[in-house]
Amino acid sequence: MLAIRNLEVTFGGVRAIRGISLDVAKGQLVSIIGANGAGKSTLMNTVAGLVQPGGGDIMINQDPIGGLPARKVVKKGISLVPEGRRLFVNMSVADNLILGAYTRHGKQKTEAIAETLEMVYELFPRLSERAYQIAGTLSGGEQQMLSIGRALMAKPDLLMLDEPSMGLAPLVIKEIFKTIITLNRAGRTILLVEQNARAALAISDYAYVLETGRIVREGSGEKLLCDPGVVEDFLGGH
Amino acid sequence: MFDTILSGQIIQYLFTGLTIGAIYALTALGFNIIHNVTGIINFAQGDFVVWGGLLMVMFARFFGFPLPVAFFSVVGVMVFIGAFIYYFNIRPIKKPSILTMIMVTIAVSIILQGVAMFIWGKEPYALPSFIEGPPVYVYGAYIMRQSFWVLGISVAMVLFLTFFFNRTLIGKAMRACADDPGAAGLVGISTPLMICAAFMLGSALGAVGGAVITPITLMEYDRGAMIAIKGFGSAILGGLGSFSGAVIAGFMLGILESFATGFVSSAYKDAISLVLILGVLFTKPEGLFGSGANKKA
Repeated sequence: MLAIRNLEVTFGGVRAIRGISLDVAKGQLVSIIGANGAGKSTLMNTVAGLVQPGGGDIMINQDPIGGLPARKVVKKGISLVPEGRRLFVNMSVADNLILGAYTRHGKQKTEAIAETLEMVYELFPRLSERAYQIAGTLSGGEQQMLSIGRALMAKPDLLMLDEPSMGLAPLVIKEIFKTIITLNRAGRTILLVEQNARAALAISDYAYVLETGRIVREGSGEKLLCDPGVVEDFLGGH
Repeated sequence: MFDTILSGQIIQYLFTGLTIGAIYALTALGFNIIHNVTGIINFAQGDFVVWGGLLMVMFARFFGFPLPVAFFSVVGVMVFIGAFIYYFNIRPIKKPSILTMIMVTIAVSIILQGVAMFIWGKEPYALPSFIEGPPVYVYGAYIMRQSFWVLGISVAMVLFLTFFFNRTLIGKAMRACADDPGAAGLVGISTPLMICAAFMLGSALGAVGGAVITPITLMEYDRGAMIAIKGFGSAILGGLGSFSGAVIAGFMLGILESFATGFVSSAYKDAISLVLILGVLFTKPEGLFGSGANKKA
């Protein structure tokens, strides 16, 4: 579904991504792990169109999207849940979700959008209880749920999550990961970036390890969990 | 006897203040709409008011359009001019920064003023009231009929904007750009389109103010700067970005000016309101009603 070939990105004068190629097949949960500053977020932001690539190709369903602005990438079926959540903090939960479906308004029936909204509320009942609360006043976990919900409202083919566990309490992280598994089991293709490597690898079909802008290891989640190099670098074991 | 004269005077000044305050409020709303989406102060906002007034005179008096037709033509032309300003002045900026965009709006203001002088000349133009008739007598004061139009249309505009920004998709999308332009892009909102919409709405709003106030105050080409300063002052007093704050502050400033004119001297009215604006900027820069929640301000 998503194919990246020899991607190069220079960001802030630094070669943040140095020739990355990776694939995400339909229905898979693929994760990218790596230390701070390895280029994980830059990679996600480049696919989403927030950062312009310096070279290489990004394709979704054989359709090149490299260099398109974010608002056009969404229309191609990729939604990013950005690092730091980036909600519309002065607007209500419901308005955040409605804007998530912005690209579908006018093209699809309002019933179809209402159906997705119903699905998001079912997935996160807490959002439905707080539909008219201002997003900025939600707890960190609820804000993360809203950010995921907003991305789902676009009915994306590929859902990308950038550090969804960041700054959350362990119990909340567990809940977020459960949601990710639920979404994947329901057939959704997911690309996940995580610092919480153990949790990410445990639920992934396939994973890539990023180091200073390069992919240094790849394999199934299970295989990487047992890989001595990965264990030493990311899982804190010897 | 003295009491009734005084209370009549107070009502008179109050109505005069509300009328002029309504224009400040509309101008302040125009500032806020464009500021909220782009983060810039549009210095051409006062000139939109001038153009609204002068176009209204042209359509109603010289072309002889019926008033409602003239009014909506003015709004239509100004929506177009707003889009024109965006496409040919804001959009071509290679590296848009707040400062360069503000400089461009100053240039636009000078151009609008120049073109207005070229078309209409330097003399002030009068416009008959929307409905002719003698002033209405209210508790010892004579209120011009046009004042009711000004207040009514201003209230209608505030209601329309409240509806627009809270209930319509495009209004919500514009607010989303104000909150986080990057995230707005992620959900598919085109920030350039929303900035264009903000300019269209801002110029239409200014023009409505100009069209309704001209029968009372007359209008000439160079009135924009002072209107912009008062409108900007109202926007600041009300807390930049806050719609309700802008409306309340606009009315307050108008009433203050009117009382200053009546009880002190008309020579001091601008000075008094500007001193108030400076005072607020020094002591409470987030505005009288600003909560500090609007981080951009």
